[in-house]
Amino acid sequence: MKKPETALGSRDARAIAGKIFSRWETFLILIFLVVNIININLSPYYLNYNNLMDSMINFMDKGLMVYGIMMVLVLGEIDISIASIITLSACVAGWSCEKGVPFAACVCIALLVGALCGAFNGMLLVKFPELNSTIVTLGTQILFRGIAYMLLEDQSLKTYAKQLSKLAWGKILGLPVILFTFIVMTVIFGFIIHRTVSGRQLCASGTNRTASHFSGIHCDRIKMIVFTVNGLCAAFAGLFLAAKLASVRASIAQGYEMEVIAMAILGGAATTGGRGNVGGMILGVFTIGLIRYGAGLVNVASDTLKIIIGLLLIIVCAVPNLKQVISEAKEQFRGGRKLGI
Amino acid sequence: MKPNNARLSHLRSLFSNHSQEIVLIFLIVVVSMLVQMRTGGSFLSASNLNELMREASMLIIVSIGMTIVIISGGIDLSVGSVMGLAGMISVLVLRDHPEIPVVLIFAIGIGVGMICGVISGFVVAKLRIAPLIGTLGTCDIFRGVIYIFSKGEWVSQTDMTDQFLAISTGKFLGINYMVLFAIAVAIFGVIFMGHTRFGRQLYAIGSNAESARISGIKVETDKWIAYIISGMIAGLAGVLWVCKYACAQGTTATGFELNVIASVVLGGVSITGGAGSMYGVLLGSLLFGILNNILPLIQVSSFWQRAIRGAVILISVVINSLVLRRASRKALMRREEHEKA
Repeated sequence: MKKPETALGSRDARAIAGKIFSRWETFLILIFLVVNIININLSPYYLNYNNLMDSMINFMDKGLMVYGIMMVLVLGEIDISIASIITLSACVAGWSCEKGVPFAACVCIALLVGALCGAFNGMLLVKFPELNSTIVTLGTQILFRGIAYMLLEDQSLKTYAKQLSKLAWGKILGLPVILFTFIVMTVIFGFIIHRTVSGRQLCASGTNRTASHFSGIHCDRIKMIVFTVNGLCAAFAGLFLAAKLASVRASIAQGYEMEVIAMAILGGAATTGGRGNVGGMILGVFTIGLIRYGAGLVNVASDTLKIIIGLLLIIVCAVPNLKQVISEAKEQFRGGRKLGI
Repeated sequence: MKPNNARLSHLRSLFSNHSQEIVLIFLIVVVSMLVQMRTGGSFLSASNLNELMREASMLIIVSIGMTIVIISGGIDLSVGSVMGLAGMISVLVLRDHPEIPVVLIFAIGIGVGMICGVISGFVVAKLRIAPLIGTLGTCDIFRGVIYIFSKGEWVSQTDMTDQFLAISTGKFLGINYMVLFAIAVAIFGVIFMGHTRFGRQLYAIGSNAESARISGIKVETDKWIAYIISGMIAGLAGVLWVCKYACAQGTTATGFELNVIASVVLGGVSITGGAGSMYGVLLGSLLFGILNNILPLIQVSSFWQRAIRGAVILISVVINSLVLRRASRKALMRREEHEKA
């Protein structure tokens, strides 16, 4: 009599355990812990509070862009022009500062240029829905950086960036400004995406565009807003990057888009759309950032680091698919046996 | 009356089916004529055409490999790194064993490209990672591997043999060897995609992978092979690159994949797969090569070239989609008229 009950009970427990383990965040936390344990063992300087805080400026500028790109990914689109948006906004601001525009206005110009660039991407994609976002943002990526080169040629400007330096080295409540900003952004975006109607509409239109269109969601408007906010995030991160580099030139931020996308994908966003949450993004940012920091402490060459991050990206994307791949292979094997092959 | 009408409709269908190619030929002719007039004849001189074709040949070669992958519904962002890796390894072998025949050096380069293609294809086809993300990962990995082999060193002209360097300057029947390579790969591409069963299967996979699977096409294997071919072609182009510039370094061909994708899109290939012709790609990459060549000729500042390139990509993509829209609207109208009658 008792046997089936226990069997049922254990099956329940297994189902719950399976649910926990099949959740992406569980796996991500594991990776995060492994990275930290390896780092602690590699270098005695890793767990130093001051070191950790100082390292923030090195990767957090990419972290500031991760929510923008996450919203784009949730929509099922991609934006590879963000690095060029950083460059263009910083260059335009630096250029106008050199021309005598007051500093506060320059910062506004930087943010405005970023938003305009994002809106341009969004407009192209909304007006031409048959175009793929990869190709549109590939074009704007080359175009935006090209405009930055037209503006600055090969000079580097210092006045604007020097006035920003507090962003890089200042502190608020004992935390580096950039970390504080990241926390504030996390709270804002977490609230908007997970707790407001528009945020839920965003996720819905990423999961099934047609269905949400017929449910009365303005998908085009959402797309436009998401790309504009994404450009704004990039321009915002550009302020911190300019502060860190203490100069502005047309070649900054090259390759940033790939690392930001890697952070977002690692954090659980999917290129197919509809998936992604703020908690995952935090883990994604810190995992890749701390790998970089730890590797820097033990003198790993930046090229070896490239291999590590590339491998991590592939492994992380492969894991959710593995179950399906294995089960299909099994089915094929069984089917083959049935046919007597 | 009737035969005339039939001929007209035949002409019309020719135009609507090959709009991209016709627009490209028109653009190439117009641009060449304008530049010829502006430069007073130095554009269409034999020496400049030779230089133009040498430069464009690598773009054409890699574009053909990329087209095969894109038509099958994928994208290969790793070709730039594959070129760098294949070029570096083949030249390192040449440096250590100068007595090896040049053919073998090329075979090594193509072999390295093949291994890279096998890895990229495995990641995309077998592990089911979104092509954009998977090849982004392999792009980083291959780039890192270059540094492992080269240990951060350059291989310069003094380490290469004269026979090897002669490949980029020597001529056969008055045509540069590099151009001959491009022609050979182009013929392969046209026959492979247009006239073999395998090529047509790739079109089927690109337009609808699920129905291709149901019709008995081995989707995964075919996709994998598409990446392997793209890798081999990129490997060949990598050796040619090193041969032309007589220098191999860690950053060889960084970002070249964006030029390649741009010229493939310029050639009218749908970035989502399943549509596009090899002739269009040949013309597209030729136009892109011409653009690269003429901008310095008509004294456009090198800082402007990037922006112009980006604008050309965006405009061509937008025009292409407008033409397609018009064509489909006309087809609809014709069908309605037909139904009425």
